[in-house]
Amino acid sequence: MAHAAPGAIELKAALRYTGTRLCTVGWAFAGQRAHVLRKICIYLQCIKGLVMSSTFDQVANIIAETCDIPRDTITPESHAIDDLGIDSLDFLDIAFAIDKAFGIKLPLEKWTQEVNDGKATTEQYFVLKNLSARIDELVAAKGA
Amino acid sequence: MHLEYFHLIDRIVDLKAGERTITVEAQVPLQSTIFEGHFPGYPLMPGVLLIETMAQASGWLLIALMKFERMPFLAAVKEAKMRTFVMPGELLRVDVGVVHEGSGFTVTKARISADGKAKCNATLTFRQVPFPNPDLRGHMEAMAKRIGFPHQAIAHG
Repeated sequence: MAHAAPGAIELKAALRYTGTRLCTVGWAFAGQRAHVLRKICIYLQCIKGLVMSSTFDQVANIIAETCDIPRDTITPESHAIDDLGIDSLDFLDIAFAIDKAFGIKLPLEKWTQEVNDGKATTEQYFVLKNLSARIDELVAAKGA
Repeated sequence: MHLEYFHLIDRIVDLKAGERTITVEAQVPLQSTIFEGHFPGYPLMPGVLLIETMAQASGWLLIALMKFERMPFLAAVKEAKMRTFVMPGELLRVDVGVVHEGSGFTVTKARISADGKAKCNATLTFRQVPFPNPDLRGHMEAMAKRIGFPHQAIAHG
């Protein structure tokens, strides 16, 4: 998966110009517009998938670096606490790195409170695919 | 500094809640039993006490930012560099700034200098929790008074 990140960056860059490309393509190939639009839809789905996996890759890289855990043992299904053995102090470092990398503030205290109150499970926040999804939500909420 | 009580900060010189910075002074005593062992015939301020000095200065800044509602506890020390010796009798200046405020934790960068020369610096992480008991809070408030904690800086921060 190490080669996935540069691809994601290229596609993200392309996404920024999609509006222009759509217009240009539409003018040039008026007869094939529906076909082109379909292709663009598929293209955008791919970009969405890559951007999401890129959040996981970034999180996994941060964990590998911060906690000295081999990167290839970290999967989207890994539970940060139960599977990777990350303790609360190491998680502060991870939270710091994630906050910096994504420009957000992981609401660790709120999550801990919810788990302690039985309103949430640790899986919801600490299985890495779920953590990545929470990060995507926080990034989206920041941009909204 | 009252080394035997671990009171390492003498005076808050400046506290800017808005800019999230603090400057404090700490006078290294001329004599202490610590210097008898560290080192015999060549007394030096121990590096761990300099780290603690930076931690205490950071702590006062964080207490101000949290408006005395929570207590910061040192959780991690990173990139600590002891640049030059600190001798008995030196007047230290400690400058601290906040690098990151997370959820339940804060990272600071602290630097100690004397006569404008860098002595040491470190990046420190603190967990902040509600005061575990009224005694500790009372003690911290009394200490704040003693070192000139500017309560108005919180009010108008």
